[in-house]
Amino acid sequence: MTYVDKDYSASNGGAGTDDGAPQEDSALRLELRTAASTVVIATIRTVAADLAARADFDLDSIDDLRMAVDDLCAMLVRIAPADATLRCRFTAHAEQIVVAADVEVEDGTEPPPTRSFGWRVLECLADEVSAEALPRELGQRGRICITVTKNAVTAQQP
Amino acid sequence: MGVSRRALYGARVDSESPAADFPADIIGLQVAEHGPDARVVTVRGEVDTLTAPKLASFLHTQLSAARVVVVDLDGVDFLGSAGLSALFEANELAARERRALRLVCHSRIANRALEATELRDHFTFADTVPDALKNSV
Repeated sequence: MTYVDKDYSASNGGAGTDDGAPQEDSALRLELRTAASTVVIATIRTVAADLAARADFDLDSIDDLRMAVDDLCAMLVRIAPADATLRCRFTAHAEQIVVAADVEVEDGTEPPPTRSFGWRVLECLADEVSAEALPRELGQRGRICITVTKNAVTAQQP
Repeated sequence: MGVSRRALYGARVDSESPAADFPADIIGLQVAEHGPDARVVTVRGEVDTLTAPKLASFLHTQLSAARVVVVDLDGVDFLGSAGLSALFEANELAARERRALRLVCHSRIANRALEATELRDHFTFADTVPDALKNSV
């Protein structure tokens, strides 16, 4: 596991991650890299719920994010080859957490079907969901990435 | 990094101790018979990708043996989409085979899972296990 950045405050101005992306000072960033195995999913969803609790999400939103992260990790593990790495990048803002998770895949692997049971569950649990295939870089396999956005407050359902 | 990770997991999964040793079993499934036609399945712990297949086959077995199967979810600490899918499929099986599947659920997270995914209306609920068994035969 790689703990990238736990800087909540803006006082530390320049602190950021090493991926060269523009950084927002108030966001907390955390990245987990594990084997793409069902065994680790419980730990990853617990990290997600912990982040949400610390970001003062309401109880329903914490549970929704826990379930959404479980679901998206399970989808990625299912399409990953046995030796693949699962990478989960969490960005916690004051009112929102974004989870971008990806796995290496063999050529020709499609993103999870959006008509599947798991995908429909994911759409119910998260505020925004998207999947994309990231192109293969030299000497590496391509990746499938699922990104989920969850707001701190869950809108009341009718 | 890749090498050490693989070594770590390889050691865990491929050594003579079975992979099931880690993590320890996080689901508990028990069944009690109530007369010849009704069974109560008590589910505890976490129902996720790892454990949902056990729940699915357990419910399948009970539904093939009894006309009424009550599933007590009060002790569930996590219910993911794989678990929801297992319950949903058991419910469909029950409907096809003219059996009754009834849920008892006071677990906060399980209720949240059923509500957020709008699956609650597909199931029959009872407030308590005795209530669920009342109209069993």
